Amino acid sequence: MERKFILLVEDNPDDELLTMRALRTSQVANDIVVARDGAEALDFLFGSGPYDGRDTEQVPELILLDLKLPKLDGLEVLQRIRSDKRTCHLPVVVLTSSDEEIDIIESYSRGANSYIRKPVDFDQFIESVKQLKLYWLVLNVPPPKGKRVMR
Amino acid sequence: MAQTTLGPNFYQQVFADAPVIVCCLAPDGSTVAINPAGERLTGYRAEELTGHNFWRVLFPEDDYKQIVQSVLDTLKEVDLLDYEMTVTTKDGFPRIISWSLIGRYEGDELVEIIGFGNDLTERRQAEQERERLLHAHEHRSRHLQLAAEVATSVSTLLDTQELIVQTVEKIKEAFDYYYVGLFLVDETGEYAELRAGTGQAGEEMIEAGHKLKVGDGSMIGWSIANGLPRIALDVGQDAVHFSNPRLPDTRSEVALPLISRGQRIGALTFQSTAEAAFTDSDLAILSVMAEQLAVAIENTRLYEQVQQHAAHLEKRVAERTAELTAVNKELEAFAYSVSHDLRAPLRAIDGFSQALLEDYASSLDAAGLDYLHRVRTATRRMGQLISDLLKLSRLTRGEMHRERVDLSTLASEVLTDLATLQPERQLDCIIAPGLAVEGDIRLLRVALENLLGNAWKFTSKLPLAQIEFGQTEIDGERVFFVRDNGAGFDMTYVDKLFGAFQRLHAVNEFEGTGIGLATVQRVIHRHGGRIWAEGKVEQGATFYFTLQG
Repeated sequence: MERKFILLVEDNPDDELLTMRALRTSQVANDIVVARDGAEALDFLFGSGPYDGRDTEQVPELILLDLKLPKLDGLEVLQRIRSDKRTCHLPVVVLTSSDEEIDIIESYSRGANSYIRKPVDFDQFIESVKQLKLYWLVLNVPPPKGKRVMR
Repeated sequence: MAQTTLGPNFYQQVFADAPVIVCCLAPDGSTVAINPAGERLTGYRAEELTGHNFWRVLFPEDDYKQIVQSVLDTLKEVDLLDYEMTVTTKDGFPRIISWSLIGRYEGDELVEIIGFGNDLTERRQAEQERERLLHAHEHRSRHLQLAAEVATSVSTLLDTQELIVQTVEKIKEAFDYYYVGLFLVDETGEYAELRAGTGQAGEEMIEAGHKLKVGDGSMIGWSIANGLPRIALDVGQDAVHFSNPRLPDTRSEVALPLISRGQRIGALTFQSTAEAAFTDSDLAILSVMAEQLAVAIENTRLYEQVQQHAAHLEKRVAERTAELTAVNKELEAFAYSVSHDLRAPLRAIDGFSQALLEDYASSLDAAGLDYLHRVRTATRRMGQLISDLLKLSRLTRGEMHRERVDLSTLASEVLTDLATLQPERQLDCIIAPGLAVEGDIRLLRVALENLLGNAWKFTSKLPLAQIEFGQTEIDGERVFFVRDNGAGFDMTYVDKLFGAFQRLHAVNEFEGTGIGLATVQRVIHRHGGRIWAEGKVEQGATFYFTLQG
């Protein structure tokens, strides 16, 4: 049985907890896997390091990616995800505090599917997460699993 | 009218009155007769000449026999013998005479020689004088022309060393001097250093660091110390000054001081192998040249100073620019970290406050709930402040893209947006049409959004808001303005209007972070303009601004 889950890449425990709460409030049913830095996120996705032996066919339905991360930053993680056949089609939503133009441009040019700024106002944040869930987990049709698109 | 006739004494009369020498000589050259003009011009009386060989008496320096022979030979060939020959008078003076000799023959035999002599002495002297004057004049005008050439070349050169080297070479060549050298007074004022000298002698002396003490010891030293020219024409009497072993052939020398704006900055030396080479006219020309040269040297020095200052300034600017760039980079990094790092804890404060309100509302009393709401309000406000601060910092970063911008259209768009948000408000708005400028449309929109946004905000308590955007002219300058009839402000605090986070109204009266006008000011400044305001409490405000270009 395939496991439906979201990968949340977030180093700030407060943001992690709040994001979890917002997802719960928005009635997201999926499991949530948390990676606390860029390296861990890649280890998880590619079954390396502490995740050695993990079934990498099990890919998240959605990746929520913070940009400012220890070790590897979000943009590098994004680039690695996009350059690997196993993960190149995964929807990645950049979820960050930054509204700097350069971050937005860099994210999209490295293949982010969406860019959402985490607002300070928690009510707005919940609203954003609701929209996110509706679009990516309900409306969006993901690419078929296990099939490669020829380019 | 008297009848002119050739009377019996006619020939005698002519002989006696003729203004030219008339003489009759025997074929051997002895004098037979000479007229009074001949007596007058030679200084000899007729008796002193008669019977004596004419040429022997009057041409004592020459071999008279040879003259006689050559005259006789020539007269065989020609009817008239013309030549010019200088006689020596009885007093020993030379007189230049133009001679015409005719031989009179009886059959083939020469019986006598008739000679006419015309005195050319004065004419020749006048001619010589004219020649001499002409020559002197040519000499002088040649030098003047050379002086002018030197002047032209000195006024176009901007490098002191090049200027003086070229000038001494030109003067030496132009006046054909033996040696020309130029000394400049050093920084201490004690010594004059040789800075340019012609030929190998000059080269060697410069190499050796030749310098002379300013004072009476040398011609150069004296000339600088006294600010006067000094001439030494006679080798013998002034031998001490011509003792330079590198210039052994100097026989006369002139030293001229170089004076610019009353300052004695050095001296020139001109040396010649001729014993009295320097005429007054030469000196006059050289003095004029020295004056010009002194000014030119001062100019090149000033130019070099200006160049140095400019280079120094450029270096300073480059350094400051590098510093500023570094500071800007730091600021950018700071702004970036503000946008990330300051927001995260705020979000946590707000998020957990909300979590508390949702999950633990029942455990809190009314005051507890109120506190939590206040925490959230404050948090959001700080979030807004951070956002506005970032916007402000972004305005100073980034490049300006100048284009033609229609401020009137921009203002209408902004007001329409505002009215859409609060359709219930009554607004009387006047926008002057067609106010176009050159500027960055993105920045100008931000400025108008803030100015019109303020007008909109501060008229919110009135039943009918009046907002005007227009243009006027103040002291010939194009000035734009945004005027409203709202809350206005106290002119006492006008200085605080444009400072970041400065507010003249309480938050609960009119909300805002106090960044708006600071932002507007920054936009206007980036456009090279100025902004100022006029207002009265409860009687509205007018914001004026200019834009360059």
